[in-house]
Amino acid sequence: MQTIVNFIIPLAVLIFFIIVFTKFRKKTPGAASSPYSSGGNSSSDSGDTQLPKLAEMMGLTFEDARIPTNDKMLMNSGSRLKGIYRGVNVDIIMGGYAKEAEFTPLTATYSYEYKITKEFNFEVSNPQNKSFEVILKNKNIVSQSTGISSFDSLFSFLGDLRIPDEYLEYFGTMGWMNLKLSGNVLKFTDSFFEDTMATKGTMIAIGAINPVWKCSARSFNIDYDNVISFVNKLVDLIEVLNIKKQQ
Amino acid sequence: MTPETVIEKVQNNKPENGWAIFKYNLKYAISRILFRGLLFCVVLVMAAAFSVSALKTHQTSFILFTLVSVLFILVSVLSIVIVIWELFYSKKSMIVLTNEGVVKNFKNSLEYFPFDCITNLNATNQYSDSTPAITRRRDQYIDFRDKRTGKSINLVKNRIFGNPEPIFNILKSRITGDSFVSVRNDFYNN
Repeated sequence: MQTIVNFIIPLAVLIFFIIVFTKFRKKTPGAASSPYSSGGNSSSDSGDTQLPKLAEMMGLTFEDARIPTNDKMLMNSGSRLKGIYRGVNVDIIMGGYAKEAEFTPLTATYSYEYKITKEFNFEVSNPQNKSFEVILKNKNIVSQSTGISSFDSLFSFLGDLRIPDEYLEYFGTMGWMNLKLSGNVLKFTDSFFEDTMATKGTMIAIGAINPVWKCSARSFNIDYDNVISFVNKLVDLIEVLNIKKQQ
Repeated sequence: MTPETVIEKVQNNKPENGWAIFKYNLKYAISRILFRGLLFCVVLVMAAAFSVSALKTHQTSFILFTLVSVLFILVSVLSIVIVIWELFYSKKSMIVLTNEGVVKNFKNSLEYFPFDCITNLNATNQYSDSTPAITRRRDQYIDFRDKRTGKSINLVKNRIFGNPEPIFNILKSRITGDSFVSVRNDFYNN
C-alpha cells in the first residue's frame, strides 16, 4: 500500500499534468499559417480583383466559391470562373480553406486541416474513353519514352491517347505540367507550388515563377496574356485531338 | 487483372505503363531496428545497473523498477520482432497504384481497392510543435474509407513504402469525383 502511495500515485499525477500541459498550452502560431495560403488561390486583395478581371477578359462569369465559414476557419478563399470559351465549357476553380480540426489527438497541442483546389476543367467529348496524363517525372511511375528529349527529361506521359509532339515540346519548354484527360474532362491541375516544394524546398517554391500565371506565391500578379495564351493552347489541343464537345 | 497478377508482374519486372510502384523501404526498416535495438540496450544496461544498487537498499523499489524495466524491454523486443517479421515478406511487400485501383501487399496480406471505392482520402502530417508546417515534417499517414465495407483503411504509415507524399499525390489524382477530403496537420511537443 505504501508503495502505491509513494510511487504509483505521484507517477499518475505527473502523467496527468503532462497531458494537461500538452493539451492546453498556448497554441502554436505556426499552425495557423498554411503553407499554401500565399499560393495562386490566395484571397489576398490582388487575387480578389485579378481573378474577376481574368474572367471578364475571357468572357467567363466569376463566382465567389468560398465554402460557408465559421469561427474555426483560418483561411477561406474560393473563386470560380465558368462559361464557354472558344466553344468549350470551361470551369476554373481556385480556392481552398484551412480550419481547426474537429478532432485533435490526445497528445497533440493543435490540429488543423486544409484542402486546396486549383484546377482548370475543360468539358470534352470522349466517347472512346481514351486517356492521357502528363505529370512530372517520378521514379515510381512506369512510363514510356515519347522520343521528345525536352519532354522526357522532365515528364512522364501515361495513357493510350498520344498527343502531338508540338504540345510535348511546348510542355518541355514550360518546364512543369500537370494535365490529364479522363472521361469527358481535360483537367489541368495547378500543383506547381506543391511540386516545387516537394522537389526543391519551400523557400524556392515561394519565390518560383509559375509558368502559367507568370508570378510567384510571394507576389501574386497575374500575367493575363500568358494565362489566356495557355488556355488557348489547351483549347487548340482539344481541337487537334478532335474531342471538342458540340455546344 | 487480379491483385496477385499485379504483384507477380512487378516482381518479374514486367509492370504496365502507368503503374506507380512503391516498394518496401528496407533502409527505413533497418533504421527502425537499429534505433529500437539501441534503445533496448540502453534501457537494459540502466535497468541492470539500477537494480544492482537498489537491491542493497530498497527491495520494493527494486521489484517495481525491475517490473517496469522488464515490461519496457519486452515491448522493445516485440517492436523489433515486428520489423523483422516485416522483413521476411519484404520482397513481396509493396503498394501498386494501377490504372484501376490500389494493390497493397504487406506482411503477406494482399488487399485491393478499386479507385471508385475509395472515399474520404486524408493525409495526416505530424509536426514538431512551434514550427511552421512548411519546415519540419515528422511523419505522414494516408487513410481512406472503403465504400464497400465502410471501414477506415490505413494505406501508409510513415516511410514504410518510402516517402508517403508521392503516394498521396498520385492517389489523389487518380481517385474519382470529390473523394479527396483534406490534408490534416497535427502539432506535437518535441
